[in-house]
Amino acid sequence: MKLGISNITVGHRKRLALASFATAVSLLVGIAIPQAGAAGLYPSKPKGTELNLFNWSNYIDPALLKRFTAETGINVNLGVYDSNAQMLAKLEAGARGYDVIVPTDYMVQIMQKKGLLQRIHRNAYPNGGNLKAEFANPYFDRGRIYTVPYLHGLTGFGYLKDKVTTNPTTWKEFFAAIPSYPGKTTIFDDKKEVIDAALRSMGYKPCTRSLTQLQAAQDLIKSIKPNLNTIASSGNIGRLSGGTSVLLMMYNGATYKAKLANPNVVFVYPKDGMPLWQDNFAIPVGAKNVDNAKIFLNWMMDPKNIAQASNWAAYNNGITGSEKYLLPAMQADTAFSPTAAQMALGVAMAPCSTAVNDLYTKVWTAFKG
Amino acid sequence: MRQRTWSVAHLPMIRPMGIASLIFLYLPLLTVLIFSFNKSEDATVWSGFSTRWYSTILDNTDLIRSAKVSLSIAIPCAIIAALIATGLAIGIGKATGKLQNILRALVNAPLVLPEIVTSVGTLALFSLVGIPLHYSSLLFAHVVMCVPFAFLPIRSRLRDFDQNIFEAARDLGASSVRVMTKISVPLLIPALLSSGLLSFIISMDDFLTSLFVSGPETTTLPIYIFGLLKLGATPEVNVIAALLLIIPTLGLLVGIRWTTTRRRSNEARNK
Repeated sequence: MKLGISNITVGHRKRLALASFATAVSLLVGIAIPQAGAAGLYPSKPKGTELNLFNWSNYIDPALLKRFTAETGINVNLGVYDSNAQMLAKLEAGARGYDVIVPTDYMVQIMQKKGLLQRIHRNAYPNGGNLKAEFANPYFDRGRIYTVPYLHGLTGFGYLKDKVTTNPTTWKEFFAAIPSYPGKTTIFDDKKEVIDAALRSMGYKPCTRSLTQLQAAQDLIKSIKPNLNTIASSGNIGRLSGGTSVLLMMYNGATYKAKLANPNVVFVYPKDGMPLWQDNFAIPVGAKNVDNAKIFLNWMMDPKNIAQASNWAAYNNGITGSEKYLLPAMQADTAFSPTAAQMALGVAMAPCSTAVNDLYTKVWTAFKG
Repeated sequence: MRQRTWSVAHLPMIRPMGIASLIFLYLPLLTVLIFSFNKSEDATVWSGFSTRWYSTILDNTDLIRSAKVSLSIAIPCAIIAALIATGLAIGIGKATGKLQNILRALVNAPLVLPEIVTSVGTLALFSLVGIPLHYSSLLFAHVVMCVPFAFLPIRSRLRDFDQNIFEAARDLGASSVRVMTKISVPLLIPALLSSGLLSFIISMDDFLTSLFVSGPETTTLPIYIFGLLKLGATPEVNVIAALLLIIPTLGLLVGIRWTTTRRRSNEARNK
């Protein structure tokens, strides 16, 4: 027994000695040749030919992935999930083999706290410095230690200007206008988005703990419910451009797509504030092809490549220099690229606390039931 | 006087109810077919006639690949599940008394367990033992899921067998192999086919098990379609559904035609 303990101690000491030796060597080498540190952090060439991407279906231009394969020799296999929560559930249950995942802002924080993400060493990448300043230091990943940005968007509302003539510019006016168009309006099937918008329309803050404020939000959304034709988060592009709904809660990129089909479509960045959502690339713990994942992350930070992703999905990105590769008509449209003042209305939203989330659930159940 | 035997056909309102049920069953399929010719970017909102999605679908490699993955799982799954179920049904048929009840309950247990339990359990088991999520692990999970369903038609067919046939065959000196090939297997073929088809369909549209057990290279069609919620599904989904509807239906029609002509020619020959 004693022997065993002393053995462990010796082993421990040896390891400590080795570690400090290694640190010393790496420090020395680091000082002597600055690039040497980077060499281990960013691969000089692909390892193997596979990359397993875990993403939503249809959330990245297939032609872009084909070009990635042509340029790097790495094949991309696509695994698919339908929500952040499900992606988390699968990785937590122990699924391995995914090299790159696409978590949304708040999910990055959750996954990082659970120890599911790898440090990506972005600064060692050739394109690692290409982040726009406003996307280089988000609340969910200070300094971008674990992620690089993919696409982002804002939740506002869209309307048809030939049908809705009151020219609404705020959530307050959005909710006030709904009763004028019975059976022609739509809001998201999304607890957080809808309750946040209702709170904002009354000048309250999202994630409020005040029961009176939440009650007021519940009363507001219940009062407009009879005028909604549906409560849905998908299918809204066709609903707006086809005129099934004339006033809807929408993402800016989706509204831009609706505008292509119907020039009467208008997107509004509500003046009383709105959420900015951001999707990101990250490398999960247990990734098999880490080198290829890093090559992919770096490749997606190339302005030309990320611009192609934006052109296809109609959502903007966080890479400097991508502007010159964006479709000119799309870039000129404020539904795709908000003005600085409009962008400033967007707030990156951390999730509410569990207690507040439970209150949200009660409000939502009362509204839907 | 001829006595009228009881039949469902004599129930009141049976005709309108039957028609309503048929409409209820087939209207969604018809809608999918129509919406596959939708001009809109949106799978669910009609905006005009177009065949554009039939041509773009060929470029959507991920969609095509997920359809191929689904087929490459469902076909072997149907065959394996039907074979295992046959063995189980024969074996359990030979067991007696309490043992038979226990065995039958064991086979049927997955039918009454919520699928989410089996699927999460399978994933947890695979990661505990260190089995990577590949084609074979997904196929394995699908076979496990399909066996209880495949078991049902075979078991009921075996129970309906007239045991006298087998005794007669043995009386006349047939070896057990000959009894198997000349009597058991031909009698079982309809049940084998229906249990295989049942397994095929269950595997094809399974979502939960695939969701948890599929790996990066084995995204099945239902998972792909659910994943489309991010940017909204395009009518490509309707196109693939329409193709999956049309191709097996044509196959079935050809199959029926082939068996009826063969039966007729057999009857003619026997005369």
